[in-house]
Amino acid sequence: MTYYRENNLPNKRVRSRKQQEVNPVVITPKKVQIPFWLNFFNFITNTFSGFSIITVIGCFVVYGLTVSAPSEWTKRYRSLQELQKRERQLTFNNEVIKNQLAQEAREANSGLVTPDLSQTPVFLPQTDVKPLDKELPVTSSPKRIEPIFPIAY
Amino acid sequence: MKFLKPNFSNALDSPAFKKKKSRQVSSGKVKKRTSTQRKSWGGLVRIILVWLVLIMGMVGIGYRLYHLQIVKGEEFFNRAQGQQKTNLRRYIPRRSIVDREGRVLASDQLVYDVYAHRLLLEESIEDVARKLGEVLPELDVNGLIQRINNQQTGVIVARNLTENQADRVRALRIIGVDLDQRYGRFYPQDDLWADVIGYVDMDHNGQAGVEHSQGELLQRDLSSPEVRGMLRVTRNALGSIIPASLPDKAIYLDDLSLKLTVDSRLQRAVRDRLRVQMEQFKAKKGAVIVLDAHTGSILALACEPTYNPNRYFAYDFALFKNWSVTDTYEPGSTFKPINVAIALDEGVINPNSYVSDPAQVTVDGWPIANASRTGLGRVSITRAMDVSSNTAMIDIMRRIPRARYFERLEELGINQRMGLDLPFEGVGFLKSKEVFTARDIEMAVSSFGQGLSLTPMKLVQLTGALANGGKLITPHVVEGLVDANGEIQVYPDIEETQVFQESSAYAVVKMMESVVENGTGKVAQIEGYKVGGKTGTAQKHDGRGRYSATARITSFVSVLPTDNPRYVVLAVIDEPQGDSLFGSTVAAPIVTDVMKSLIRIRGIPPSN
Repeated sequence: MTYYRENNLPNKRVRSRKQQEVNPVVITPKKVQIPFWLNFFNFITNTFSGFSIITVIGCFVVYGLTVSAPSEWTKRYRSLQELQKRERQLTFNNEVIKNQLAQEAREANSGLVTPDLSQTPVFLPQTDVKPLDKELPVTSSPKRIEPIFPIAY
Repeated sequence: MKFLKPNFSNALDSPAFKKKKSRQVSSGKVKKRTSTQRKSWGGLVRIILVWLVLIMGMVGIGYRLYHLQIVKGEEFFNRAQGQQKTNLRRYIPRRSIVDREGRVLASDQLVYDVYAHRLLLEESIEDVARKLGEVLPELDVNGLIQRINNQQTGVIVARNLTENQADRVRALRIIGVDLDQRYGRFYPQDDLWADVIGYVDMDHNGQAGVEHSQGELLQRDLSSPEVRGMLRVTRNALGSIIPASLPDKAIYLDDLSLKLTVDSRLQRAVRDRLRVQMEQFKAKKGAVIVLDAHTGSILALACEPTYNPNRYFAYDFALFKNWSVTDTYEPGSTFKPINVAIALDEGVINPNSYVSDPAQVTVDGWPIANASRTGLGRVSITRAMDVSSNTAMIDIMRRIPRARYFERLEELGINQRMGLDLPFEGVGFLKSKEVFTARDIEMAVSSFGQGLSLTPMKLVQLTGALANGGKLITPHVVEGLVDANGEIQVYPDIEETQVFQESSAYAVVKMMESVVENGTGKVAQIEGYKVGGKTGTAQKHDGRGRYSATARITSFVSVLPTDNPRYVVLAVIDEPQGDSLFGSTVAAPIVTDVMKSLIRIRGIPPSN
């Protein structure tokens, strides 16, 4: 049932009344007060759901690591053995070559010359050189400039 | 609807067991029967049959479970262990030895022996031998075929293969041929360091030198869990090792090596020079020691004759000892500086005193003469040292009470161990206190270095005490355990005791300088440098209680440089042959050249 108002007013009012006819009842939704405890429970639920998801993802990650650990470890261990082998062979060969070189150096025709032991090694005479003192530049105190306060930007 | 509890009796009442009758469709309405209906026995039998089948399945599975787990459980467990457990063999070498510059003097390498077992061979013996012969060029193929034919298992194909050769043999993948891995010790410098480092035998145990005395430092502590050579680990189906099955810190291995105080370049120079001199004088044995008196570090130590530790089995075992450490000798005149230092300390003389130097004196009925058979009369102590006068030394030492002199000699530790880090240290000899103090003769002969004996190393230590201001420091070869960055992790404990006053020691060094400048040590002069020295020419016992006329032991000890004494060099040559055999002619030239090399290598500035 619609009710018609008494029309004593000018046209503007008529339009608003028409709108009112089309939407006779305008109900502004009342603000719903969610109770505090419900809010809290929701918050807890969502947070722990989030944790669960993160934990599950973490589980997958750990599982993947665990599964790949043995082959990774074995690969690295083999490379460790390889490196150890190379290290010992290199140092050993290095020393053997040095030894051979030293022995060959004794031969007269090797092209290497022993230092002449009758001459003392070259020593430069000690010079008493004082390190140059850096002269502190004479700086006058900075001129005091009167600050100009900008009065406008 | 009727809601029934789900138990067995209600199940029997369920509609499934009711007999079905055809329903007459009436006008849209369904007529329901409400009276009790008769049960269908067929349905009941069906359900009991299904139940029986399921129960039997469960019993079957249960039995199978019992059978597998309990009856055969152990067998399967062992099979699984057999598949999963494997031995992990770790590389745990003996620690390597490096010199002060970091050059490697001894290191472990992996060596392989190849074995062939005829029982396991799948191919023909000729084929196997031929393949091995291709990879190992020195292999006697026919001999190998014979040996494999003679023996079922364990035929040694080749020994001491390097890792590369072993890899090639392994690549052939011949079944019945396997490689046995072990550690072999190698010394890249061959015989240069044999006296200091020694060697290890086939069981990898050190038998001489540092390898023997520092065996604990070199061999890792096998009782600790980190250093087990063979680990039992689990592996997965792909053959990879499961890291969780390893014991804690299993793979960690420290890379420490044993650092020595010696210098390879100096050692090379020393050994070459010593060899030349030994050749020239055809001496029985010789030794040169270079010491840094401030720290007691030995910079070079060479004994001749020597051996190659890589092939120690080819040499006479008498060579394996370092005679400069093990054998004692009567020092002769090289002991005089030490006696003068004792006398200065006791206050019976001062550096400017005068003593009498006759050509000969008689002590307790024994005539004692100077080596030159001449006397200079009244001389300063410095001059007495210059000419190495025995009678002047007797005049000096007789001023000290005999008991006190003996006490001082004991304080120097002549008849005690020094506590060296080289093995089989020899202990010097002093006569017992009663004999020494009974008559003057012992004091007299000790004053010029006979009648007591000590090792060359002990003499170096005592001269070092003169050089460093009176402190007796144990000479050592080992600097410590050093890691890959060069930082020392383990230090040895070095003892230091003050045995001379600083002023006495310094005064004696100055006298030694005069010996080189004006006295018997002129050979040791080096241009631009002030060095001090003392010659020594001592007769050896001939084994019959008398001194031999011909067998001598010549020595020369020097201190360099005398304005700031640091280094002590001693050369001892035992039984040189030829004429003109004195410390100044046989031993001093070695010391001179060694000092020149030392100057060059250590960069010692000239003395001005």
